[in-house]
Amino acid sequence: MSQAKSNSRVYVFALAVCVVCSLILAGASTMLQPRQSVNVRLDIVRNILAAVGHDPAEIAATAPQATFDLYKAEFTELLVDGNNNSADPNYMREELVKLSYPRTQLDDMSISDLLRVFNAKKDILARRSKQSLEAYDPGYKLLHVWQPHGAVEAYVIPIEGYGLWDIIKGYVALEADLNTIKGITFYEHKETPGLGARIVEDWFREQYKGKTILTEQGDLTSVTIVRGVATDQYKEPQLNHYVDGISGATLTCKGVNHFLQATLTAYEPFLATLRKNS
Amino acid sequence: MSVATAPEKTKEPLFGTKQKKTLTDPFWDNNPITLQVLGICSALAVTSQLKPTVVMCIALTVVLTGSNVAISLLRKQIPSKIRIIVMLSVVSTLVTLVDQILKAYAFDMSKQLSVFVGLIITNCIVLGRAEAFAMANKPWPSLLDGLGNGLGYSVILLLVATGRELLGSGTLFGMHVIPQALYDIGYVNVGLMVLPPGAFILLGLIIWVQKQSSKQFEV
Repeated sequence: MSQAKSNSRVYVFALAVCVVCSLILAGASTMLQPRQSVNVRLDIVRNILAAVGHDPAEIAATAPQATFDLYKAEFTELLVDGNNNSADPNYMREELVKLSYPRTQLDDMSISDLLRVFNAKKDILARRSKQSLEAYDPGYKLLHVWQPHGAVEAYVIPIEGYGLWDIIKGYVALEADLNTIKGITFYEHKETPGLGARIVEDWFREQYKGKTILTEQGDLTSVTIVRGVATDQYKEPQLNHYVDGISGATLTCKGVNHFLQATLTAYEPFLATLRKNS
Repeated sequence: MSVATAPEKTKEPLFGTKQKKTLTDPFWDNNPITLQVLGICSALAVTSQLKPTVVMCIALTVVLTGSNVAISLLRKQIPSKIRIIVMLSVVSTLVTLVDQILKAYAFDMSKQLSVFVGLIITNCIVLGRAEAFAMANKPWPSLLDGLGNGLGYSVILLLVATGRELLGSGTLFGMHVIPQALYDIGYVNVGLMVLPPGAFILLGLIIWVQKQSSKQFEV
């Protein structure tokens, strides 16, 4: 085989491999997409339910549709803008229509689903409207209000931020007093299994239950993971704001501390008005 | 090995002594981790607990078998100049495919595995077997070789993970197995085992035992 001929064969072969591989992956991705997105939504709803104290094993055994229905029956979603005024979710629908999302699909979406899509696309929308992201972003904050029997029993706040490797997402549920933690869950993370990933384990999350985010004076202090054992380092009443750490997961814990504090700080003005009104 | 003998017995030529050797050699005598010293990185990274280890073993075995078969089918066509990048494309495609399927059908598992999917692509065993075996052999022996090496990798990983989880956390598959009574008389979990050095130590011990038993020494 001549040199030129063998070279062209290399190019053709490389091209063929690329085309075949990308076709396989594109096909698989398109076919599996609907199932995957249901799984993602289901996972989120399960975590919100677990955050307010539903038994995770029981929820995991519930059929997907029944789980969505349970969420719909027990929760209402509260959306506020950057100034803590209640916001109209239809604004997000109007904006997303500009990116050719089908209107019927947008009408069917819950506020939290809308917000998720909107947050993913807001940089594109800002560019289209020739504004900076800061100017464009309405700074939406979402609360899942738990009213299983009519009265409000808990507020669930989405939390997210960097751990060690990537973004960790989760939910923290506050009791109706908006001070005591009812539960915390993490549903998306890429932390090291056996080390940072242990933040999802029951023993770790259980520690948060009953801890308070406000000092006795009523200032926000959040709940912090210490290195080692909290009881060795703090006494009541400070102990109310600290939980035990995980060895080998210092950076994950630092990340969780940071974004929990940051989220609660961002929500605090709104939570304060809610506390006053109740 | 009961893994593959049962359905193959009727087709003797497909599964003779040589084929059996291809399949079973990597379990111990020519283990990819302890003797070929490939795939060490993931052996250290994923083995602090058994559950992610099992998932990783299954995923790697599937990818390794699949890539060996695919490379072997293409072996006469692949230009030698670009063979490594072709192998990588095949392996990456398979790994991404496995990840996508897990995300659709075993979401909880995929959440545990997602970090290590990238590690499978760079796992030296996959490329090593493709280069050393699949490029020179027919699809059927390549399949056996991939399966054998995948299982050989799994044997060592499971050994290391059992040791690490048992000694490091006192659990197996997340269930407590060390009785409370032992803790009461002063037993403590070996924190070192949870950390990567624990894997080095256990792996070193396994290699030592194996070299002793197979009398293979480098002089």
